[in-house]
Amino acid sequence: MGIVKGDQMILNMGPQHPSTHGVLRLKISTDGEIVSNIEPVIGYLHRCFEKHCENCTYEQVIPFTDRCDYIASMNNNFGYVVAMEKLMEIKVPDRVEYIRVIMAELNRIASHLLALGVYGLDVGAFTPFLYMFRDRERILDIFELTCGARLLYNYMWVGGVSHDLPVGFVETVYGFLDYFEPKLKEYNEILTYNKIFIERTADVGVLPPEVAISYGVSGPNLRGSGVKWDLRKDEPYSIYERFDFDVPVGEGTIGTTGDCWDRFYVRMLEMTESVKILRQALKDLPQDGDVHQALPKKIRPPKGSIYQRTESPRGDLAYYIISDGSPQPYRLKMRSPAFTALSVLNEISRGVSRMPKYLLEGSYLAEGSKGLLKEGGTSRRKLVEGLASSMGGSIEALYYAFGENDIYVIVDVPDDATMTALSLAVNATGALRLKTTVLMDPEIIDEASTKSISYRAPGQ
Amino acid sequence: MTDNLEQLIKEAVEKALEGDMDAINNIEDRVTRSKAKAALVKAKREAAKEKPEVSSDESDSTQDSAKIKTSNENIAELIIQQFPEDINKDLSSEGHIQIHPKNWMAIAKYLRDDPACLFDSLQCITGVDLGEESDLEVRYNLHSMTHLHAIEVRITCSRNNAKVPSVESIWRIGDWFERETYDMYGIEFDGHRDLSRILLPEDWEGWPLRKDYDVQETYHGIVVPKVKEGWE
Repeated sequence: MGIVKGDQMILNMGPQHPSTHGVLRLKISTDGEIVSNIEPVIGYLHRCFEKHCENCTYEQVIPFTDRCDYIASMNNNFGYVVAMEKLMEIKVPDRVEYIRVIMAELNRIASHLLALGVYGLDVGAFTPFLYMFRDRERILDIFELTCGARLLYNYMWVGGVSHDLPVGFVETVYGFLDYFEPKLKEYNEILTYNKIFIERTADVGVLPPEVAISYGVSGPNLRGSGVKWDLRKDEPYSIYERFDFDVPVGEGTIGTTGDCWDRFYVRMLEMTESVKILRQALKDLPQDGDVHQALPKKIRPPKGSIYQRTESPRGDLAYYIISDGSPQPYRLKMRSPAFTALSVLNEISRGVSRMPKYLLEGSYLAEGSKGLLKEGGTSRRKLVEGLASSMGGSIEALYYAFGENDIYVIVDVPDDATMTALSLAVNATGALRLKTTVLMDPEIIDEASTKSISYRAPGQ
Repeated sequence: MTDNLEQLIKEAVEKALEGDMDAINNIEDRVTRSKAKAALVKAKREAAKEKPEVSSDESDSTQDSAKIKTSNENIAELIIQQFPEDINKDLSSEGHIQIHPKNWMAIAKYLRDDPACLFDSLQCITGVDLGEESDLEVRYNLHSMTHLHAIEVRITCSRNNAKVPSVESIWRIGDWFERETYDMYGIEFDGHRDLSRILLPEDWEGWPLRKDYDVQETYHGIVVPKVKEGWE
């Protein structure tokens, strides 16, 4: 079948999503149902975290880290206190380390439950969402029991935690784990292997590993592409080296490695691993010990800077802290995993293969040659790339040559109209004469050979 | 307090540390008893402080950091050898290298592609204002997924003409990171295809994370709240 092309349509999504999963605006260019370009517009939730921090004391930063990601606040606290303790060279008691790991892993499960639940909701599965929220609520109850808050905990402090574990905590968590483990099987039955869900996620949005790394994608999104990378294993912080757990990666079980389904399934498997870590941590948790023991009264880290990465449920969460010796951070930068993950959206959602290819042969006129010598080839290449991507296309190859033509370019552009516009714009400058040839895939010739056409040459 | 009482407290604390709390609880005088309890807490705290120094984890972690340090030093050495003119050796240390902006593009390419470096992932770009009267700085945290080593690259640029070559084409995430740094510090990344504000609105005035930043008073008729100084 040939490729049917219509007009480009610009579709606006957001910024106010009806169920407010997050406030994000997407400018989507589509041709029918095929997306040709997505431009994420972010910043609607920008809350000046870094500027605030410069005006707060180190202790006051912790509640802000909660609010940076209210789905996994424990992990955000964790990253910050790990960085601060490394900067100040504090060693916290074992009991505190265990409590922190327990909280972080519980929060990881809660966060993944939300991620998977609303994911299912967005592709049209309502029931799993309710199941997962029901179970997430149990984790939030455990947090409420511990520190009084459901979402914004302010629980981990530099050198300790805010409250000791309540009476009966260990039994409650064991109770939850015993309840939760069989539920994972249930989720798989109701959602993971559901035919409609597979149809909608397998082979969609394939993210190749090298692209993922170049875009700084991390965490379950990176592991979904088959890269075995987990900071808890590869650069262990806190006491993660004491636990025995696996790092699940996407294997293309249903579709292609690195598709939406793989990213989904990796999270599902990670919850099992978190349960494993939790059981070990609960078993080894030291019974006694003061959880405030190493808590300094006023935090004044020595002059210097630190870059510390931790594995949050979304991926690589890092803090860059610069201290000038005063009780307030001189500079505090948070490297958010979601920010980097979002930047790859355009790259993987584009239906690039659907775009026709064109061969451009160009010869420079006198003025153009002069300009080329002045600016240099690579900077021109950049300009052509910019031009193509602004029209929703991309450059496959660009070469300069001797002979009749000076430049050869193979370019992917959404359609003929766009190509004509591009070539007209270039020719109008008078610096370059451009000849355009439409390129066809071998498949089109195959297709052509199957059509029978009767033609009579003149005079026969 | 007499020597006698001190001796009593000391003995009771020693017994309590061995697990016999009755030694303290059996002290008849309430004041002496509470003093003994306070001494016990203090003793426990000191014991906890001493403990980590002898534990085996501590020695492990120092070994680890030593290992990372040596690999970082080697990397820094390697780059200094390769680009002797572009590195400011005085300001570089084992953890980071300080380079001049001019050749940054070539160095970045080398860092990504050289088999000994292979820094395939740009972890973070942090802008820093070194002070109201001095320069701005851009810090790049690089990490190699192959060799598992990391390095920090620092580039200083002047406040009034803040320009640094863009590495967006080398690490794709550079695109957004550079836009973010531009947004907050007004550092221009030469060669970036679409250097525009990313978090703040297009028509926002000034560079918020610079130390000499003054908030604009109104934005489209909306009063902008002032940042409060020194919350305590």
